[in-house]
Amino acid sequence: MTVILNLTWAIVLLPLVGIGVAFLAESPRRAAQVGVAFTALALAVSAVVLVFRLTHVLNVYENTQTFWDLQSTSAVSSAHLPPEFPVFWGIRVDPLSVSFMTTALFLSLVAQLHALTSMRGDAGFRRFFWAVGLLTFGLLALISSPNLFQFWLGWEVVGVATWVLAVHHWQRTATATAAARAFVLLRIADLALLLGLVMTYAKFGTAVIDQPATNGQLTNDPLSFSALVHQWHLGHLGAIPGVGTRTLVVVATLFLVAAAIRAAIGPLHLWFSGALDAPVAGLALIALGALIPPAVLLARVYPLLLEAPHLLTAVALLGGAGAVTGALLALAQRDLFRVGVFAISSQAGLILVAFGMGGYSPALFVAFTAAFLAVVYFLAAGNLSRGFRSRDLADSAGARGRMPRTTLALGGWALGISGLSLNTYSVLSATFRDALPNGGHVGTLAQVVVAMAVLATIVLTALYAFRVYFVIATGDPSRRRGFDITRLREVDPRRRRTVMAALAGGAAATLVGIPGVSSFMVGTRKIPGLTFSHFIFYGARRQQLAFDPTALALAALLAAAAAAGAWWLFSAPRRQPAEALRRRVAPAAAVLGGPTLGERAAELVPRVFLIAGEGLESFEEGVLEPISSGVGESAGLLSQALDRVRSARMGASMAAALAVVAVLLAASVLAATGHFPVRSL
Amino acid sequence: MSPALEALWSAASAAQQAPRLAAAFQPLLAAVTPAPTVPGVPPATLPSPTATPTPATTTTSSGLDLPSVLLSTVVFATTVAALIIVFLPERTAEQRSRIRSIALFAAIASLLLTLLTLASAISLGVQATPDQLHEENASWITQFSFVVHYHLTADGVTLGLLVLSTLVFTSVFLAAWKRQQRVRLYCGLLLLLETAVNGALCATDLVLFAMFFAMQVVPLYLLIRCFGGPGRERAALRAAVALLVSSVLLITGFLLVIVHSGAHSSDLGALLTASKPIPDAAATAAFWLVFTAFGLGFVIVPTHIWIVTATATASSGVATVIAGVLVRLSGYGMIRFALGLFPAQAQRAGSAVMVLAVLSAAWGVVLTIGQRTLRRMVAAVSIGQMSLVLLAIAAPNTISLSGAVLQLIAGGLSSALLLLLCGAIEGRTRSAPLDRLGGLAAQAPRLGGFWIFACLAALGAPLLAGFSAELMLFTGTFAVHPYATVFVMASTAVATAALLWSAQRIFLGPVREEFARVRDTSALELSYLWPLVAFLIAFGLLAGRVVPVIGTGLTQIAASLGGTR
Repeated sequence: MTVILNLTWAIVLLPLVGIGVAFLAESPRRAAQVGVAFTALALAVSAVVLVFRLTHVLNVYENTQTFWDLQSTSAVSSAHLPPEFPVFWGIRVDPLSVSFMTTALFLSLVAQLHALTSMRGDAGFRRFFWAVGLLTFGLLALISSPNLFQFWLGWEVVGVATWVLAVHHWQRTATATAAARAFVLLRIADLALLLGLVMTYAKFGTAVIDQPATNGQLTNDPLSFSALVHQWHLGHLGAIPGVGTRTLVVVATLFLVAAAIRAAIGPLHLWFSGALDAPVAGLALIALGALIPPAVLLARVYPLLLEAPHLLTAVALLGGAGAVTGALLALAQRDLFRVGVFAISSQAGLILVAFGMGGYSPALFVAFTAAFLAVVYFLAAGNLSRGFRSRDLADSAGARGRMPRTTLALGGWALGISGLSLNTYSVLSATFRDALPNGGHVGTLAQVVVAMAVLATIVLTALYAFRVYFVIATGDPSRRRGFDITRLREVDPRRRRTVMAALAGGAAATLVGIPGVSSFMVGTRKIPGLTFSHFIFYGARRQQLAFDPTALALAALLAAAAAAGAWWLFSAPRRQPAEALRRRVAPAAAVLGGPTLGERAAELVPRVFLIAGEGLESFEEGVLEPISSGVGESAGLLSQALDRVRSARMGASMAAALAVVAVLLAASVLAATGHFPVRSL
Repeated sequence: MSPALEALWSAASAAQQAPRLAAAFQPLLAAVTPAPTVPGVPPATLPSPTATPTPATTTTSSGLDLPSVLLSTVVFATTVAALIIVFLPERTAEQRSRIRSIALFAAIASLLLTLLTLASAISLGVQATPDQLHEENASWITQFSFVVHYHLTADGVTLGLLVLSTLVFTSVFLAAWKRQQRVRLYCGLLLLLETAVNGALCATDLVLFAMFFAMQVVPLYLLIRCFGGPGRERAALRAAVALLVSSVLLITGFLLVIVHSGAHSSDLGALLTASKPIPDAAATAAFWLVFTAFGLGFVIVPTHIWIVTATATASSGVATVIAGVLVRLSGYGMIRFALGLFPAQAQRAGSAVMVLAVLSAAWGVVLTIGQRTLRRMVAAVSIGQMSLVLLAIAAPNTISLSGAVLQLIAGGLSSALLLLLCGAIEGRTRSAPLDRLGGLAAQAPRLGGFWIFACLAALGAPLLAGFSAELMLFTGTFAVHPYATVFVMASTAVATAALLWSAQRIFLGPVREEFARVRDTSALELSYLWPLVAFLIAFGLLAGRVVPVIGTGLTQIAASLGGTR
């Protein structure tokens, strides 16, 4: 049995081996094919482990190896540092890891297959596949990580690979600048995570190491997720010296900051918008890097979030604000890819909301479906932008008749992200239930605020998703020089198929979200159920997430209404949101209250919309951008000033150096002969 | 004759001379007598140079009763080569090639022997004895009131840095392969400098260390003075004065310790186990003298100026040695001597050192952003790297110091790689300032790839040497100076921005016409760039094997700093 579980080692390492083997390939195309083959192999092995795990009742399986073990000797008080600093690496096989590894590998494979065709002839073909392999390895390393060390390693690998993908078209100065900014922002997330790791070791390491060693190791892993669960609880009870609730809050906040930045929660989404010049397949994978690592991080440290007072409330409120902001910004975009960025930001907000409201399974389910939908969207958007030779929504219209499969995929994405994938239902039901295992401690006011935010997000999500769909599917494109709509054709079958494969995956992911389809036993054989929350759940017992018809009805009703509104506003002829509102609202208001009201409404409604939507984008362009570039420039100026501090003349610096030396020598001689008042301690 | 054949011939001829050289060297080795046992000193228990001096060692593993001369060979192979090439003519290209071959052969020999020693230390693990680590110990000068020992040891700390030193020097010799002017002087001085560095790293006698340390001054001065760019006179003088002052302070500090300890020996082990405690006043004065001495070469604020200037002015190879090796040697000295000899004083000075570390981190990162020339930028990056080491010294424990040693190695390798690449870029762009560069990756994609790799290595990217170093360093220091640790961590994020922007300025962006004919890396350049890359990856992937070996070298230092748990 352990043989099959230990195949997880191969799953993690195969993409890395693929990178190495690809170096031996002569042509870039062959190198890419090698990378794809290794990913496919890893996916096959992952599927075997997943099926095995689904059909067997097993505890969490961990297999760790010592990376190093240092005996700690401290000049300071021995209480400051644990007695040892052992670092381990290994695998953790549980429902969360096997599900997300399979998801990551499937989506990575789809994106790579898309890239094989869409990037043919690209100068950086080999580099692209090398980075994709690295990103896949990083994702797998962190998903299967049994401890914080390996998680951090995988997290950093994903960050580096993201930068390499973002800077793919390095000849453009703006691309390189934006990619550098993205990497720096991600680096801040890395440091927050590293600081959390360091604090965890400093505060809980001694307690973990002092426990009798398990798993056949000589010493316990002080950064092991399994071991830390108990320690976090003890810390909450005040049973660990030097650890109180403040420590728990600080450590949890650090993890939360890391997750929020990586998940591109607004206004921390700047890193993702800086990566938008990556090839579309790369963008799809960067999206995976934005969704999966934060979700897995929060899932692994979820016991800490439960123990730290008020942290879950903060998570929920932050998530709610991020979800609404992301959806509003998505609605205000003209650029196809930027819509995708803010859609991910909004979905990440929903993940945080679900975690904050005690919905462990719903949160991971949203991450699960959002990953599929993100890949569908970016690949479809890539096909559209290639067909229309533009990323501007205004330039892309009338695709339904000419690019039917791609439009269908986009429609599937719109339906899925608006709620058909049960993502919004899951979050809403968790919000209504406040489903914490110990009864929940999110206050009523916070619960109401979060619920309002989720409801607003549902409406806005359906609005932006169907806006994109209706604008692209209907009407005629604007006239542009050099572009002939009659020559617009569906992309080649290979690229179409990859998009449809991702969409099919998304549909399958939706199926497992149907509540109440539980597993059952036939003799000793377990037949897996279809319900996500019955497979991935928090605690020793699965949460009994009862079907919530109110949440489902509300989510469906709001999404349907918003979709209808989007059709009313944005179907052909296409218009920008403000203009569409102006034209639609004025006649309706005129019918209700006469021409005066109609005129006022026509002025007022678009203004409100502008303030809420485009105003947020202006905030990004007018405030956040100048701040980030201003910080860089001021540092440069300060640097130049500091550089001038160095003495211009040799004589002055030499004289100063000699004077210092003379004083030191004199002082030392005096001190040595007992004539210098040195304070003795 | 092709260059490759020429190199082969030169190497073969040098190999033919090797037995004769060894025979010539043997009487010198035989002349050294076994060291007298210091009264009251217990036998060595740990494979650390801080252990008690032991009688002249024999190679027990081979069963032959011969004195182990492995470390002496590592140290003096380059001196022998320097002595040989002094007598060789350099009029024709073939003669110059022969000189380069001999220099390279000696450097490679040192490197291979060091790697052999490191491999055996890793395989032995923490159970290695001084004998197995090829310790050499003999009394050398007995005319003073104390005995000076010829005591060389290579524990985990030394070995890691010895690999760095020998590898960087080998790379520098390869990088100078096409040099045609004053080859003999250049190679000879570099060989002497390597002897000084390797000797200082292996020496565990204070006087011996000070001797090797001071031996850097003349070769470095001449290397900068004779082979530097504009402003070399001033830079050379600054470097020489700084190192001279550093040596004087070091000797003064060491003498204070030796005189006050009553050990009648300048051996580090004997001083550490001396029964008579050093008076606090003398120890405090000596600590600050030694700290200042190493601080002068440590590229920390405010003593960084001469190093930045020298790095910017010297030739590419010499700049590589300065930032890649000499700066790290001062870091090693700080850990081995300032911490090892004066634990109580180091603890008391912890807060002041922490402030220096924070100041250096901030200063270094701001300087990095604003530089307009490549070399100065890389030198400024070194300030940030060394501030991490200084932070570890402010909060010394096995974890932080292991991280510091690994950081010295990783930082040395990444700085050397960056500076060698600077040389390659300057050669192609005629030393254009940063703001006039751009788009080089179109013509030189491999060069761009190396630069980006070096930047990532300098930042501590995962799977590379700096990654594990930063983890250990921050873990060890956070318990003592949490706020300073957070600040220094934050500075690394800004350094990320600076280095990425450098990559962007040089390689990315639209192609510039003036660089349209730039060539990519040649086979010769690859021959010295790839080994550095390989070692950065190897130290990253094998950190699990290397770190315990480093830890054993630090055990006694850390134990002397505080109680072992």
